[in-house]
Amino acid sequence: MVRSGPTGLSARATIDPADPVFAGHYRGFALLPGLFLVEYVSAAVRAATAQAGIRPVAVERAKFHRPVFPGDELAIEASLAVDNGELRCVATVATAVGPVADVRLSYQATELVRQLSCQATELSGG
Amino acid sequence: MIGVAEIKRIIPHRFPVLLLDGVSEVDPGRSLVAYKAVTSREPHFADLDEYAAPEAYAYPVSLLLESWAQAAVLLARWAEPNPDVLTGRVELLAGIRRVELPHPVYPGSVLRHHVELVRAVDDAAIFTGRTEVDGVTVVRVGQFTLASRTIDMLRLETKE
Repeated sequence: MVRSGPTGLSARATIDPADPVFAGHYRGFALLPGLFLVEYVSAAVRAATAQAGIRPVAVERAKFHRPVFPGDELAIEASLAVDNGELRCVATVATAVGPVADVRLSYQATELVRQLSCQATELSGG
Repeated sequence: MIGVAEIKRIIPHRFPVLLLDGVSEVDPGRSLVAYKAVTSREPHFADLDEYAAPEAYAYPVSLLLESWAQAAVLLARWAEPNPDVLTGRVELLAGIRRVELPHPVYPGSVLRHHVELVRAVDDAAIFTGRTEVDGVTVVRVGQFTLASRTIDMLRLETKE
């Protein structure tokens, strides 16, 4: 589930305990690979921008505060800003126990940037 | 040099998230080169329909970096294998800085992960490196930090 505006997004996701990933990460102790949180943020940006092909060109920074387990509910809050032709996403990911990760992604998406600028203009004009 | 069977004796990652096929070079405690072939049979491509755009077949960034991370864990545990987290330790990703992804990766590519250990202190290790496909750099990793925990420390967190 994703809600978004021209400058940010909120998304919720549940870590499915039946996800096959847990058979191999790890046997006897299921733990979500930290990088999968980057994928959840990335998926939220794809959904919020309605750009299925949009791909990050950099993970500027990511910090992982605590592990995520099957069944955890993720709350993603992110800001989106255009800077020098790049779209920057600054996201925090939290579960019921508190923040689990901070993720900063960059995208190079000319068409998207144009659309976002239009949206922002329409909003400020309205 | 070594293949999947030997990799499984060193790190605890297993199917479907053991994302390495082999190791071609290692200088223990310093550097390692590992590889993985990306194919159209990767599980996440199963959901794509007839109308999926060509870009949809780009290998996801999370898996690309997870594959590189497993090469880092392999270097970290080369001399002290950790095939079972229940009797050993768990390597957790603590942080990433300046990872650049200049080109997407598509099925048919063989990833060559170059990993260098920058330093190891107590329960943390810092790595740097890159990934190449046919000599073209597809990932540049500025800094990648792993933290090592015992299973008991992690079990406490699940109960919080």
